[in-house]
Amino acid sequence: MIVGVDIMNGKINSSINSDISSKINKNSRISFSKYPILPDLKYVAGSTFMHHLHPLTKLVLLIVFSVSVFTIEHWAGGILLLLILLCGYKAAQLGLSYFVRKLRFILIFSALIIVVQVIFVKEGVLFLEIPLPFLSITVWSVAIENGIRLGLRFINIMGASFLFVTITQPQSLAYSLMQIGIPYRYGFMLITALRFIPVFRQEFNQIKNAHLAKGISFTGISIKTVTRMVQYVFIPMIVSALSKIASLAVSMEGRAFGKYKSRTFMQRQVFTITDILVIATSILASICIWIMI
Amino acid sequence: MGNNTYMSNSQANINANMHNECIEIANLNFTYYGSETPALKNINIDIKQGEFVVITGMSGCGKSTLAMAIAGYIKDGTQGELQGRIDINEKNVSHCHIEQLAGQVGIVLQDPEAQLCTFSVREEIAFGPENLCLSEKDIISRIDVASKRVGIERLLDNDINQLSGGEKQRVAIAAMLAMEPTILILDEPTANLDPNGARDVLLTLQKIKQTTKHTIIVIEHRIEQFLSLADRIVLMEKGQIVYDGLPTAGYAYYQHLFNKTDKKVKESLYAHKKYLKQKLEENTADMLQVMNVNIDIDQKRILSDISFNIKAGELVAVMGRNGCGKTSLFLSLLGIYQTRTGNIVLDGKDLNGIVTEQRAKDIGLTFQNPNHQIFEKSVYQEMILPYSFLRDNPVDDELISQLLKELSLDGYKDIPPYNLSLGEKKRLILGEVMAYNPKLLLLDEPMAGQDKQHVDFLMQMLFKHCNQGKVCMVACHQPQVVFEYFDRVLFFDDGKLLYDGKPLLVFELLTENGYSGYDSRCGHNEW
Repeated sequence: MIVGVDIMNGKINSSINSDISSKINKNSRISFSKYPILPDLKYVAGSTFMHHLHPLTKLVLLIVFSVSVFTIEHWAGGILLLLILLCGYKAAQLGLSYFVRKLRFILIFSALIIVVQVIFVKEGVLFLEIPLPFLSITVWSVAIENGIRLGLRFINIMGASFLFVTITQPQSLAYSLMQIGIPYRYGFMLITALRFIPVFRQEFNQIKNAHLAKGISFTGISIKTVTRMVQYVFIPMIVSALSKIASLAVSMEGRAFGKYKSRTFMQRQVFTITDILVIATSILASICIWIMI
Repeated sequence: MGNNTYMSNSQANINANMHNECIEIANLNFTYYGSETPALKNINIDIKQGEFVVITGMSGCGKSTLAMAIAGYIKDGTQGELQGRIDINEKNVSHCHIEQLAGQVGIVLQDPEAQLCTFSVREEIAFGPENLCLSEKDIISRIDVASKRVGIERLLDNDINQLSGGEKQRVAIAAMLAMEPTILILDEPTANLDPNGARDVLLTLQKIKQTTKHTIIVIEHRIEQFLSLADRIVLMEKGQIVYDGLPTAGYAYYQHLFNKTDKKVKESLYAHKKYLKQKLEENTADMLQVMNVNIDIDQKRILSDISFNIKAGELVAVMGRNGCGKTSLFLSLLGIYQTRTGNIVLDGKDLNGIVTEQRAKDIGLTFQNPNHQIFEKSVYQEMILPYSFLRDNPVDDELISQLLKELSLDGYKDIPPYNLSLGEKKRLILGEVMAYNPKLLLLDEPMAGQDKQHVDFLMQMLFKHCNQGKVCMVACHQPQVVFEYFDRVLFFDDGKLLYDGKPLLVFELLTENGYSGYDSRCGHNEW
């Protein structure tokens, strides 16, 4: 148990170390500000085995993994799943440091879960007692067990979802979902939304620059400044979004979008024997772990 | 799914209607809800298969509405009241669904960014045929044909986000052509493009005209560049067709109606030249000095080793293809982008280390799209917005009302600025800067997609500003306007200041060095 905590502490430490080192190493392209406390969800291009899997295979893997996380109650199972997850990261050439850096927030949060459990749960065997003048700290076995189980569950679910997003190109997922029968109107909602993210980011920058040019600045936090900020940022964003949408609608409808119930897809994602094997193995493995633990 | 039937139908349409009317509009009237004056009044027009028609007129004359009506986007009872009849290929379409018309009429709009809905060029061209449920083989051949017609074969596998504006617009045209429409409508296809991009689009249209039988309708403010292509010109004024016929006579009438240079502009141009001459004789110190400035964004060099001086009273155009660093230059003058090395001196004051908030007091910057720059609830509040942030003394109401009058916005004082037309919004943005009257005025493409009247008005305001001993720098894509009015041109290419001098001189150098679209006589040599 203590090993588990140590591993996590070790990870947190290493994450801080890596930040300091990247800060010192100014020539490296990775800078501190690029890794905010909240991870940015983004597809990272690559050509590994994991990247080449069919998007739906990856989705099935994610579902199987998540179901396992919830059906396997024992903490040891949690650690096993975490190891499998880390293998997944390794296979996608993302490595441990990537995992730690991107999931820093999740790791800290898991540590907090353990702390909360230790403070409030007083059951099982007394594990450790640190006598202090006013309040002695007692650590009970059930608290540690619960803490690690819940913490690992959280890490596993978030880590797996994060890996999925990192190795799956969102548009190819949308195309493959449409091919298995999701109505294409909904699929294209996702595709056009993704297409317009950089456009809106650019628009936001332009609005920000216009604020700077007009000398508009917001000092202090009060209800008044917040409402003003909303008025000055969101209204122009919405106005420009609506005009873009109007043009987009003309362009898409003009190209027969929605004329027929189905459509041809040139972006065909081929389901290979590897995909089937991977899915079968994952299901078998999860059942084995479930039976064993 | 009837793919082949569809294809042969469209082919048959083209063949059968070779010399027939493919668009017949009779007594068309349209009034938007909430508007008292009709947007289209008694429109009668027949367009033959294969014709190239240019429809022009001032902003708000109804030409875009007419285009949208032909394309089937305007119907009775949706946005307004429509009477009359629109027949396309002998079929009344005023009650058809837009999807039914797809494949017959294709429309390409002004904003290239907003018309592309996928991630790669190939996907985008395939999008339409895919919706028609064609077979993969047919789609591949359509992609092939459409991309060749537009000349973007080599871009097929590119990411949409990496394309320039002109390339995006050509992709939009190719995507429409892949639908094999009998009629292709382009609503100000070059308004947002630089001269190079505009030229490419124009050549593309020429190729389509020569090699296919598509009917092409172009809606444009500035028709000079389309004269050699057009079979026919339609002039519109206040919702009515005032001329419909041959381009030669049409152009003369167009010049007479819309392209009359306002006498006031000529007068203020003269006053400005006189002022500048006097100022130059006085040999005053430079107003703006930019010395060896480098600008990097995300570790990429955008502008390198830029040096120029501008004297008080000069009106300077900043030119170059899109993405050559014009906007970056303006943003770094204002301090929004950091300059790595070099100095910027404004009116004897070194701007190094001075933050944007302070610089904004002396440097006014406006951007192309007014919708990104309007924040307040009423025109009056919007007018005084930057003033209240940048100046310490209270607002002079007299000055503001006088400015509003000059901008012909005095009637709109209390209405929300979002309800103004695009031209009015642009005037409002200009008025805001004029209200706090900075020493250096930077305008980023204020003339894109604007008619002659707006440009004339803008020039008058700029001359007035310069004649106070201040400086204006204007990023601009229209060589004709620059040639006519500006004192000097800074031409940027490849991150460098390539030429700096009088417009005539710079344009001659550019033409000599193979830059197309910068012929100072452009527009007149085309026919």
